[in-house]
Amino acid sequence: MNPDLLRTALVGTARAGALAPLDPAHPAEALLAGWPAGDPESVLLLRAGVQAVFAAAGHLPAEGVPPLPEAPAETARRPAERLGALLQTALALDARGLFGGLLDELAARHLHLPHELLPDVLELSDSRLREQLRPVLGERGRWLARLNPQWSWVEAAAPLDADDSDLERLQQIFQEAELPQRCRALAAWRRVAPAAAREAVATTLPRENAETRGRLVSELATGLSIDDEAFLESCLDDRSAVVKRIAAQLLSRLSTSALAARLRARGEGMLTAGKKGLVFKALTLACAPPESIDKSWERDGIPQKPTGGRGQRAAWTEAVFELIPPSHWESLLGAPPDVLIEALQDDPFGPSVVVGWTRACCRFAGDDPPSARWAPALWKYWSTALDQAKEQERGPVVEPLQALLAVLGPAEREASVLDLLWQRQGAGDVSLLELLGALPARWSVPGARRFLDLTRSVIRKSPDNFVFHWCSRLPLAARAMPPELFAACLDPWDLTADTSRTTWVVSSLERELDKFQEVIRLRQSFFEAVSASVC
Amino acid sequence: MPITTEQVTQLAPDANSAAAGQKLKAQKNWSNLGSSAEALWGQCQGSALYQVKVDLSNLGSSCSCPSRKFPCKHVLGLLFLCADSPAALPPGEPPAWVVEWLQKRQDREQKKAAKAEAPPKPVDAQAQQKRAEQRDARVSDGLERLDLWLRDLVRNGLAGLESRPPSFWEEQSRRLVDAQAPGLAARLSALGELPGSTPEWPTLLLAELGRIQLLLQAWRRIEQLQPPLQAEIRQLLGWNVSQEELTQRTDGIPDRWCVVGQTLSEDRQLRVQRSWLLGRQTRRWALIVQFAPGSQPFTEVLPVGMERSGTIVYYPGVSQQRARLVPAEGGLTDISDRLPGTDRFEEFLGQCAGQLSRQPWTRGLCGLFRDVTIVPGVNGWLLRDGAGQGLPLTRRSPWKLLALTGGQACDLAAEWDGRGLHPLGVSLDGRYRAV
Repeated sequence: MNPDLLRTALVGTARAGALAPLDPAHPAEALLAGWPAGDPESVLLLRAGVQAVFAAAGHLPAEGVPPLPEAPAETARRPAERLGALLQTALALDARGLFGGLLDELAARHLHLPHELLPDVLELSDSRLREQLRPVLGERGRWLARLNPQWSWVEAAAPLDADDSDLERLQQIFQEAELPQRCRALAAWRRVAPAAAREAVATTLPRENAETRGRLVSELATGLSIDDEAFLESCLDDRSAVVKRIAAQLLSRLSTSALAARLRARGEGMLTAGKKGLVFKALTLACAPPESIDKSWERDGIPQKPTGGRGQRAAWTEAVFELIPPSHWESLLGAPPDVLIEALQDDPFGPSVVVGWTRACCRFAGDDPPSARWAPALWKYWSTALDQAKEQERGPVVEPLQALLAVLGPAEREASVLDLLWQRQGAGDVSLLELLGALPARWSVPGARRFLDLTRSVIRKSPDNFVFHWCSRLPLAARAMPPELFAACLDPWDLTADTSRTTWVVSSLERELDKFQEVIRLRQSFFEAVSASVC
Repeated sequence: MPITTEQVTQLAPDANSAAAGQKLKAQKNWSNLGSSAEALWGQCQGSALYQVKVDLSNLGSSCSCPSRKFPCKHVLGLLFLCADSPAALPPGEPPAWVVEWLQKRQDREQKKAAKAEAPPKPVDAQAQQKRAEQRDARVSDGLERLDLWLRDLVRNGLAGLESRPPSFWEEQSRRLVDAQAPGLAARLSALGELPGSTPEWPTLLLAELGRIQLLLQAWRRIEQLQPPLQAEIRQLLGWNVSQEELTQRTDGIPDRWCVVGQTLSEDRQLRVQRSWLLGRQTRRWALIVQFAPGSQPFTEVLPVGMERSGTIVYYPGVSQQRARLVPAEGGLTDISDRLPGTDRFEEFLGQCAGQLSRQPWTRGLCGLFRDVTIVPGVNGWLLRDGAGQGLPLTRRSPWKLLALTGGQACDLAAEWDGRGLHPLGVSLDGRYRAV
């Protein structure tokens, strides 16, 4: 478009003055040479129209456009075509749960994502999903991500894989990156050069704020050894109570450390063993926490003032026993975990000791297998406590149960939760349903069958309120069901057995069950398509 | 006929129907499933037992349910089931209710054909002439008023238009509708979205106002123009071409017509579907525009990625673009063989220039570009041909296309609006699909 014409049109012919005369050298303007004269506005519009058509007809392509290197060929297996639509539906339905689970299934079968899905999934910002996506993005996904700066997470996070050992790069990330990246780099660094990484933390610590100090010190858990003791001891003098506590927790894992010895001495000082009964002399334990604690306790990560509405002495008891491996008590007192727990039952500080032991069991299970063996006895203690607890007190009881699940093996975990739910189905325990979240991502066939039986029983017999709470866990169950039980899940559900339910309740339950079956059907189609891809 | 999930989704009147159809595709919902060369059928258990049937020659369908959506979720469910597991619909003899329905459809087609062949009813030529003159006068009045308004606009300057509300343009558009020039009214109403939309909006707006001025000038001199150009200008202003008039035309072009692209838009509670068809032998292009109120179906089922035999009848005029498809015997099939197209952008732009020289108001032209790649350019993404020439892609993100092609050369259909290419479909791994 002629710039004079455009300027005049924008300002207005009333203000811009006379229009530039026709340019006879311009082929389009030459067409208007013999046109009858008119008012300036009509002439301007006419000239604009002719020039617009002229420009459109004379459009030229750009020359010498460089080619773009093609994406490398895929090394993973190609997915069946209909997987694209199925995964798209799963992504829209439940990205974090359902879609994430299906991504793991693809990765396990060495399949890459259908290409048409890549632009949508590369936009996802959830960090867990991104980790699940990485193995299935394929060559196409990585190639595409390199073309868009907003998808740089695909390449950026790659150097921090578990087996990364490029020390120079790790050091650079540790010095320059944001905190989460620094922590990941530090963990990777500790795996290959623990002493150098510790030195780097020691150098940088004085310049950091309390939160960063806490995060960096906690990363020393990777590659932890007695060589770290001196540095961690120095961290006990940090201004921040959080840093003190983290350092104490790490030192407590080193059984030969001075702090571990101090804690054992404190714990042993509190517990006194005795016997009761005339014939069968049963072991009894009495706990006598101190009336006050000095600064040395605080230095070792035991806060003077407790939080959470407990008494000071109970809190100190929990804090001390939490930092001593439970197996220590087994060898010291010569009795198995269930006997030791039983021995505390009449003591007023007994529950606090068990809370400490439960936390210690979870804390030391990884380093000390005998401590992990305390889990079944502690699980039994807390499930029994559930019977005695009033409804409003059940929350604090469910919490240790949930923590203990992490220590149990997958099969044991599933059986323990389902046993508990089965035993207590009549009690309407809503808080117990939380435990289902701690089960493995895929349930075993017997476990899942038990859950289905339980669900049918709950729907048949339980009060409306509990049934709704139960049904709120169905999405989780739909994601975890093994393919062998899909047919059983899709069997009709009888909602008419309990005639006291209102139509509204029945239709709401129907909706929940429909959603459950929709996810099951989707997963069923997914597995069929996946088998077709693998064949 | 193989049908894909993607094509069934395209047939759905809305996303909810597609989702409901997906739910119904489970085989347990169906009984008496079957298929033949002409039809698919099955009975679906809903609130009652519904009889669902699909005519494979043109994907016409019917269901005994009371839904006002078309196709309903049961029909979509049957098609999804067929797309997912064709073996679920075993070949067999259609039951009586399917045979009866197919027969009724055939009878209706025959009646339609007979009606088309029947001699036209006698018309009152005098009254017709009077009506035509009245409309001409009304349009002339409307266009003169528009001219006055346009001149006012230019006199006061376009710079202030950014702050004008949509009603500023809609009011003039309504006046043109009253003056029986709805085509020009729609063109003017669309201008309301330009001010402020991009940095180059003044150039775009002035160019479009200039084209409207050219149309006004053409109307003033319509008597001096050739009849085909007269017809074109009347259609641009808003004259309709009756189906009878098209039926009577004898210059139809028979071919295998491939549906290579489709756009869907809303215009005053009407859904407007624009489908680009490419003739395999003739290499001609045809634009089928269909309108449907609400969620009503479009008359002709034209799924992207399919082709069928038929005759294209162009609307009268010089552009030979908008057309009506008269289907021939035989149903829809997948586009499987490679499509004819242009290898060089220069050739395509030459065709565009030729079209503009015949009809300067042409807005969109479709091309099928062979062996092209998508590459980053300085101001956005480009489509690159085999000779290293490039045309810009419109602002819509090219990521899905890039993900599908992986930077490899492909055959791609796109609509050219004079400034950028809007991709419509791509052929990959021997399958043509919409993008």
